[in-house]
Amino acid sequence: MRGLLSILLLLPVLAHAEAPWRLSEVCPAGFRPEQGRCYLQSLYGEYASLQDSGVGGLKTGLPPLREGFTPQQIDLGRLMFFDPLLSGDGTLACSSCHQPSKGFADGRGLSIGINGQLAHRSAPSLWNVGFLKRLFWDARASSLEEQMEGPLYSPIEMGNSPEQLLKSLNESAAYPPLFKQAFGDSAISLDRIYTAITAFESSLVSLNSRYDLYANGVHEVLSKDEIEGMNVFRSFVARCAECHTPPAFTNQQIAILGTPEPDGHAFDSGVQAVTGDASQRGGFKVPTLRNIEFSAPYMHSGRFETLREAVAFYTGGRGHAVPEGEKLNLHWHIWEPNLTDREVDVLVAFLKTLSDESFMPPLPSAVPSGLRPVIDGKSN
Amino acid sequence: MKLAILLMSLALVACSSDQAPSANSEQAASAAVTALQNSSSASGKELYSACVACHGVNGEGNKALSAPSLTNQQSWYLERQLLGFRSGLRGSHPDDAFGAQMQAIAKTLPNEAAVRSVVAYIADFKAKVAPASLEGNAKRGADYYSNLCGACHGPAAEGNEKLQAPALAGVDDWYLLQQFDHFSKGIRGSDESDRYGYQMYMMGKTLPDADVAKDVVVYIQSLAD
Amino acid sequence: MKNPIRLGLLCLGLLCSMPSLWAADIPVKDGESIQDAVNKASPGDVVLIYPGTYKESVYIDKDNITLRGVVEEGKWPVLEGEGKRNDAILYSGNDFTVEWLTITHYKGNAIMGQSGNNFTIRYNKVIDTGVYGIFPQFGKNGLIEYNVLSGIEDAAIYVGMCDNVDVRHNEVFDNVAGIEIENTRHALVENNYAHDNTAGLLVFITPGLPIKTTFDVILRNNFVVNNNTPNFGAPGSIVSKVPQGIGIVVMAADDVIVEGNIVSGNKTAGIVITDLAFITDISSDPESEPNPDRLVFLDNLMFDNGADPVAEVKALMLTQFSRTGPDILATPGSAQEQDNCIINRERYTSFGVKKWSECERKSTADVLSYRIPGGAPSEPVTATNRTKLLYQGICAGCHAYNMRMIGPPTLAVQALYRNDAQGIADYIGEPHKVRPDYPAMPSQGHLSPELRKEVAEYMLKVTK
Repeated sequence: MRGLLSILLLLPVLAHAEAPWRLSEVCPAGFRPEQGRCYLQSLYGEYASLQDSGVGGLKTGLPPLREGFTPQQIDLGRLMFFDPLLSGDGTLACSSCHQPSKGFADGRGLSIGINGQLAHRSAPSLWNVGFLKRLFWDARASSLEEQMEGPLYSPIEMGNSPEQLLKSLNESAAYPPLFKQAFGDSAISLDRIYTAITAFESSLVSLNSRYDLYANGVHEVLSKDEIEGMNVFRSFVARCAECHTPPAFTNQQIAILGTPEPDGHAFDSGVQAVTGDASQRGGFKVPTLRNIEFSAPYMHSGRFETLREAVAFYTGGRGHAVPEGEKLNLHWHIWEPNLTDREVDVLVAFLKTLSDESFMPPLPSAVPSGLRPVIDGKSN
Repeated sequence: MKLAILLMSLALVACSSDQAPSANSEQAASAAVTALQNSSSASGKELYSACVACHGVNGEGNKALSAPSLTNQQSWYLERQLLGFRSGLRGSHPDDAFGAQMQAIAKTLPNEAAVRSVVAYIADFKAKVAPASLEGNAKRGADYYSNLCGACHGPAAEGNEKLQAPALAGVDDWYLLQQFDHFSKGIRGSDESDRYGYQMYMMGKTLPDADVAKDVVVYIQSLAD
Repeated sequence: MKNPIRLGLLCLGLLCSMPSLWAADIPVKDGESIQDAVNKASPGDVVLIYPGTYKESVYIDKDNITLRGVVEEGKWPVLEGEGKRNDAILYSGNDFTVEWLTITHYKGNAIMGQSGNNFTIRYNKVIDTGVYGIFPQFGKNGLIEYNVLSGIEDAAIYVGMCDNVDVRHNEVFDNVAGIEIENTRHALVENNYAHDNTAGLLVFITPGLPIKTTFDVILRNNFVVNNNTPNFGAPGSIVSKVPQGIGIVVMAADDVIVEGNIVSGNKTAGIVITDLAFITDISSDPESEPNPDRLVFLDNLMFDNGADPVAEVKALMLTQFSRTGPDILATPGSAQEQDNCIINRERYTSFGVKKWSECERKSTADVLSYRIPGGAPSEPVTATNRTKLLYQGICAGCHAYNMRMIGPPTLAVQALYRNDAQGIADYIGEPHKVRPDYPAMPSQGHLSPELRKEVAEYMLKVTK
């Protein structure tokens, strides 16, 4: 199926490479149009959740999604997402670190920014990112718009500035007419840029995995081992589901796990560095597990190469990897579950049932700047 | 036998409520039948000579005789239609007077090989876009086309053989409108054994009214350049 | 778009509520598997578990299933975890009932729910079972009654992140925590006997959970006696920090009413009211409001509490020249504020309630239950409507009825595949690109051929 995905090119774009760019008038997969705007249509649409929290069990409503964007805004965001014009030196796009073939992460422990500089943390997956109310590993942004200012203007990530971003988009021949299609007039503002990219990122939904079918009553899609893994996952021994709560597979809270840093790296104080609250030292936002199979390596610094290693961390004993001298308020669910090898194996098998890339967006073969779009980390 | 069919179709034409073929048209159709009855040739060119009176030397069609141009119709589609006329799948509805004419003619073709050779002959005609004869709201037509028709007939109305959906761009607009009208009224395609015709019969009910159908055809015409 | 679905569910709900049409008894005898019976069960069915020993973990992801033990002349069906199985019973379905079971020696929980609404857990004996005895989570509208639980290293009954739950007529003893109401609203805890735990009843907020509040809780007519068991909670667990010898703890919860309880013989204090500062070693959560607000203390019978308080309480009490703990202890801070109220305060030994106001409300007799009349709405997914759900949830994400979305309109598919559901079923199992300007369809090959055909048949019948 992943082979098929690579041919999901937007054909009108291909066919009329010379003609003026035309943004899609159709909502992306999984979204239904309503008065010209796109709204999610999913298996979970009719379910409620306790206190509208979007967390619970199998048949639970989702957290609120950033939705209601127009097809044109989403499509403009898609084109910008893959366009290296957005970086300071025209070499990096959002898609450099959020690569479609790697679960919209980059397959690296620490991402590489402008001029080959190493970022401080691992690029997170963007699947279902529109459901999140806090962004970044340390939860320091409360909207996608706010979040993207981080990488765009970080001197070690995309290395751009607001002034240059506006200038380069305004000076390109293709972008102003596209903003007109998306927003009604051709003015390009930072807010519009952020809105369009937010619209695109929020359209990356993955809710049709085999797990989702099981959750919605189609029990035969999971194997015996996978069901066994699901039961370990939600058991009060492994306790995975207590924080990676369905249906989003994150409860969006901060948790202090005490995972090890890569060799030679200093301890990352996580949320404490943002809030100054020592009780939050080493805390990170609970990430979703959807499409987790594609976004190795794992944890905030990519310390674990495989899913199995990541899972095995939790049965290594409470605090076993906390550096000497660090006093952390480890999360109460980090304990000694003493999982057997088989339990770890079936847990990993279950995690792979959360994979679904059926709504992979079309990957552009060209972007409006005329630069080569960055697909899978490379300029194509 | 063939004569009987001819007479029968003429009789049907007589009671048709559809726009009735003119005397000229009747004469030409009946001449074509006679010509084919008397021909023993297997050559596409010679067989086509029977078609010239209505469809023209170069397949350009003749609106006055309600004969559509053939040059923008794909060979696989023409072949299926001729075979359909021969088998009676098309042109049997009492209100389909012109279809009845074509049915009589197609049935006079000696065999399926003859069908293929006449289609092959037509295929060599130089494609020429039929002139626009209708006016309407192409923008509104585009919306409907894109939502409902394009899924099978393609983004440029270029047709899709995998789906057995013929090209529409370049085909006479008046003919498209007439055929859509026939589909929507069940004059064409409502026989369940006509698999592909029945598909269009179902789709014929999906446009809200004849005005919209005309807009769609105007849009299709605009795609032909 | 939404209403017809609701209507459909409503109809199904009506059908399901006619058990005579649907219900079947599925017997399970010693040596057989309860899970096998659950797998066979349909909504409305009752799995009858006969006396015997069942060494398994049972999960129930269907709606309206009852697990009912059959007790014969004192012989019970026993779920035996042997210290190596995780949880005895895990349910996610709505309208679930479990009763008349003995559950013992599991590593995790005896009975654990995740988001099932309208649950009933009653007449169970839970002995020496891992972390929690009975733990419904994310559930709305539940009843927990006539259970006896002992030897649990955390809470015997733990109502976590739920709404509208009655907990009554249970006996909990020899546990770390007897009954916990955590991040839960509208709970009635009544007529329970909580004795010989580290702490008897606890109503509180745990910070860092996705549901942030606890309010509207009534603790009424409970016996909370001699809760002096040394804390044997797992290191790192929140409950491991609860001081021994406390009858009732109210931490950070709001609108809690305490009435008619008999609280005696608890060596640290009868009732402790505190803010979140009570627990340490946990990361702070700015979204959790830390103060206990608007607590209401009506008449309770309290005596003989505080005989040997833990050091922290002893230190507090020394400030008012007492060496024993009080019946009521409001810790310094917001717990002592006047938005809390009490009647007849002179009857109790107390600390920190001077500023509390006099209650206007004198009784909770008007509240009979906190469950929702008629039950919480539940949306059962059954074999009969799952096809519709799949169509709406998956197919309709790309196929609108009469317009182009990512895929061609359903109308066109209906025309192309008239009377040929099998054709659709085959195509979606292994789709190939047919239209130049539409993306290739993602494969649905993970659905069984039968299910693909069911959905295809549904698609051919859709009318809007």
